[in-house]
Amino acid sequence: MGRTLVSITQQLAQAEQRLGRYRRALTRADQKIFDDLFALARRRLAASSMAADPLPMQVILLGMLIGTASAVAGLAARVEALEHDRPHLPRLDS
Amino acid sequence: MTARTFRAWILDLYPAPEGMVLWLKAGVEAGGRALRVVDDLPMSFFIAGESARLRAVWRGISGWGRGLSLGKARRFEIHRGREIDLLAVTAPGPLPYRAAVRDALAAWPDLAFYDADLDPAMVYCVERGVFPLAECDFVLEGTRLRSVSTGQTRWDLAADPPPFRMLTLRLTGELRDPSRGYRAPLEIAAPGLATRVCDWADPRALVAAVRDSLAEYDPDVLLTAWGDSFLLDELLRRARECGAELPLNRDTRRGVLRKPERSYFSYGRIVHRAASVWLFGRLHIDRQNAFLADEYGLDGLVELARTTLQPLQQVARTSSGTGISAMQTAEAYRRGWLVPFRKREPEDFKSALDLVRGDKGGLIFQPEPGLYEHVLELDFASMYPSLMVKYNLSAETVGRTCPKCKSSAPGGAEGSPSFPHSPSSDDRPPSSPFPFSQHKLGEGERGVEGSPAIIPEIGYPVCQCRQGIVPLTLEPLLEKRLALKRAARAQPEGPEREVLRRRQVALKWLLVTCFGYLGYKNARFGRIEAHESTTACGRDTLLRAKEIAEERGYRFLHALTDALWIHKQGSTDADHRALVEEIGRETGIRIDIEGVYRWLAFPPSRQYAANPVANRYFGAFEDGTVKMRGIEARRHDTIRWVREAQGEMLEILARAENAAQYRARLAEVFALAREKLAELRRGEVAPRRLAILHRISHPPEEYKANLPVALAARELAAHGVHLSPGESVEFVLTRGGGARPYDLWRETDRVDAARYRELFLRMLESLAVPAGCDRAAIVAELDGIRQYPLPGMARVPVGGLLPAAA
Repeated sequence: MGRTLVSITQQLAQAEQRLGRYRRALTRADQKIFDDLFALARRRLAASSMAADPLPMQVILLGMLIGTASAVAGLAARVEALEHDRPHLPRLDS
Repeated sequence: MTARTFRAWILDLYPAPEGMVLWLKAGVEAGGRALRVVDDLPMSFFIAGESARLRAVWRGISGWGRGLSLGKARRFEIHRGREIDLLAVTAPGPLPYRAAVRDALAAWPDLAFYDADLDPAMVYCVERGVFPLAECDFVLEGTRLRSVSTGQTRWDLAADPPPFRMLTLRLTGELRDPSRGYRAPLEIAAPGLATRVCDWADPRALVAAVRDSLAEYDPDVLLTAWGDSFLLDELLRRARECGAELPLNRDTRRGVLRKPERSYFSYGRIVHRAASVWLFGRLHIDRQNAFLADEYGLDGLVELARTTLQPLQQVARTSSGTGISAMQTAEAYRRGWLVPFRKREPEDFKSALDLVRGDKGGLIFQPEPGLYEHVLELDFASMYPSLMVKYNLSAETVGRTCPKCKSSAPGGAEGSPSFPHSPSSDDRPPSSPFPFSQHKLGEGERGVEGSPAIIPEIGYPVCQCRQGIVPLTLEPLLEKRLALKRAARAQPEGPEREVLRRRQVALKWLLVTCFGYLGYKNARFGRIEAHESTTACGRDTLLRAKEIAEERGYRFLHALTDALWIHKQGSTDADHRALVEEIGRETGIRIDIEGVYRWLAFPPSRQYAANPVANRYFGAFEDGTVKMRGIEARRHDTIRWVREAQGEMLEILARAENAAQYRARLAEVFALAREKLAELRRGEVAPRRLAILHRISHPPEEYKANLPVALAARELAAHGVHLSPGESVEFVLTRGGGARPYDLWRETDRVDAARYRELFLRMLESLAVPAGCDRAAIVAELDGIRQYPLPGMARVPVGGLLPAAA
C-alpha cells in the first residue's frame, strides 16, 4: 500500500545476499560469526528504519557494532562479577 | 387515493425504471409482511472545466432530452481546498442518471467529473435521512411513498435489527464446496417449518420443494452455503430443464442478478471472489462468500449495512475498504462537497531523501528469540484512526494550508501543495523534541485553528482549521466502537454480549482498513502524503511509549506498530495502570493493558536460530488463557491434525506458571507428540484432518513444477473442475511424492506419513525451540533415544553472538 521504496528489512536481506560470495570464502567458523552479525543488525532494524539513511549499509553496520558492544559489555559485567567473587584471580586491566 | 402510515424497517432498496424501489418489512405485531413501494430520486452529477468548454457541453446535453435539467453550481472541491464553478446535470431518476453519466463521459472524456458514480442507495439514504435496515415511519399512497422519517440514527447503540424470516439452503453432511464435485441431498430449513431434504436425482420434486418452501415461508433472507458459486444457479438450471418456474425474488418484475467471478491482487497475493447471485426484495447471503462474516456473523453485517449505508446483500460481498470508501463518499455528499470521479491527483514531487524519510510503515522492534516471564503487553486503541482524527490527517489537510494558517505554516502555501518541504539538518534537529512534540495534543485535546501541526520526521504541515473528510468519517465510527465495547463489557456473558461483540468487531475491520485506503492510489479520498503522515505519527507515538516505559525501569522486548511487550521484575497492577495513564496522557492516544503473561515465547527464524521474527509469539496470561500469533495453530493453511495437536499441547503448557514449569511440562508435550505420531504411522488419522488447503496463484495448466498443489489442481481440472487464480485447493499428500485432491480421495490411496511427520515436527519446534530445545534434541526425544530432561535445555534465550548486556 503506497510503498515506493524497499523497506529496511528487505534492504538488509539484499545486503546479506549481495555478500553471498564473500560469506562463501569465509571459514565455517567465520561464516557463523557473519550470520550472527547480521542477526544483531536485524534486531536493531527499528533504529535503522528511523535513521532513514540513503546508504543503509552504514546503519546496518552500526547495528552490528552496537550489538557487539552490548555483548562485550555483558561479558565485562560477568568478568567483573567473577573478579569480585574471586579476588585472587589476575585482573583483566593488570 | 388516501394516504396511510406504515411503520417498518427498510429491508432493501435499489434503483428501477420507476425510481427507487424500497422493500419495507413490518414488525411481527403487524404480521411481519414485506411491502414493495416506490419513491422518486432525482440525481445530479457535475462537470468542471473552462467556461467555453462547459458552455459547449451545456449545448450538447440540452439536445439529449431525457428529462435532464442543467444549471450552474459552485461546490467545495476537497483536493483544491476551495469552491469551484461547475455545470450541474440533474436526471429525474437513478437509471437516467447512470445513462447520462455514461454518455457524457464518452463525449467529453478529458473534463473533470464529480458525483458521477454515486450509489443510488447511498444518495437515497442521505437525501431522506434514513439508512438501510432502519426502522422508519412511512406515509404511503398506494405503492408510492409520500414521506419517510425515523427517530433512529446509524450511530445508535440500541437499534433492533428487523425480525428477519430466514430460510436456509445447503447440502446435507459436512460443509464441502459442491463446485468441486461434492453432491449430497439439498436441505431446506427454517424456524417453524418442517425441514425438507430433497435428492438431486428428481429435479422436478427438488425445484417444487424449494418453490413451495419460498411460497409458504416467504423468507426475507435466503441463507445459503455456496449459493453464489453453485447452488442458486444450479437450482435455476434444473428448473429451466424441467420447464418449472422458480421465483427466487420477491420482486417478480426482476430476474436474479449475476455478477461474474474475478481474481485480483491485494496486499501482494492473488484473491479470488466467487461469482455472486443477487436477489430483489429478498436478501441472499452466501455464508461461504460473505466477506469476513465468519468473524462477525449476521449481526456484524447488519451493523456494517447501517453504518456504511450499503444494502445488506452488497455489504456481505464487499470488502471493508469498500465500506470505508462508501462512508467517506456519503459524508462528502451529505456536506455538499464534490465526490471526485477517477481521481486526478498525482503524487506530489519529492526528493529522494524526502522519499527515504517518509516512505516507511509502522515501527517494528524485532524480539530476541526466547522464553520470557512476567511480560506486560500494551496496545494502543485503534492507533492509526485515532491519530488521523486527533491530528486531522486527511487528503486535503496534509501539506495544504488555508489562509488562516498561512502565517504560521513553515512551508505551506494557501490552498496549494506545499511539497517538497524538506527540513534541512539546520532547521530540524536530529533528536527530540521534533516540531511535532511542540504541537502534541493530550487526551481529548484538538488542534488549534491557524496553528498547523507539523508531522515528525517528514515535516509536513497539517491544517487544523477545517476538519478533513477522513477524520469526519472516522470520529463517529471510533466513538461508536468504543461505546459498543464498553456496553459489551457491562453485559454478563450471554447472547446479548455476543451481539455487541460482533457489532464492534465489524466496525474494527472498517477502522483497520481506513489507513490502507488513505494511501491507496485509486481511493478517491486517499493521498500518499496523508498515509505517510499517519505512519510517521504512529512511529513517534510508539517511540514515546518506549521512552516512558524505559524511564520507569521496564525492559523493552518487542514492539509492533501499535503494541509493545515489556518486562519489569516484580511490577504490580498499580505500576501497570500508572504506566498506561502516563503514556495515554503524553501521547494523547488511549493505550490499554492487553494482559500480563506468566510466560511468553518468541520462536526464532526457521532459517537461522539467532534471527528474530516479528509477530510470531505465544504465551499464557495470568488467568491461563493463551494468546498466539503467527504459529501453526493460528494459521489458516495449517492442517487440522497439526492445528489440533498444537492446541492440545498449548493447553498443557498454559498450566505452567513460569518458564521453569514450561520446560518441565515439555515432557508431557513430547509424550502427547509420540501418541499422535503413532496414530499417523498406524494410518488412524482421517484424510480430512490431513487435507492441506492451498491457494493457487496461477491457472492449473501454467504450473511448471510438479508441486503437490499443481498435481492436485491438474487432477481436478481433468475431472472438469474449473479453478481460477486465488481459489483454494484441498489435497492430501500421498506416498511416492504424490498429492490427491481431497474431493477425489479413494479408499486405496495411502497417506505419506513421512511428509506429515515433517509438518508435525515443524509445529513442535515452534513450542520447544524457544525453551532451548533444538531440532536434533526434539527428534531424539521423539525417537526415545534420550530421556528428558535434555542437556542444555536450561539455556534461555537461545541464539545470538554472545550474551547481551542486561
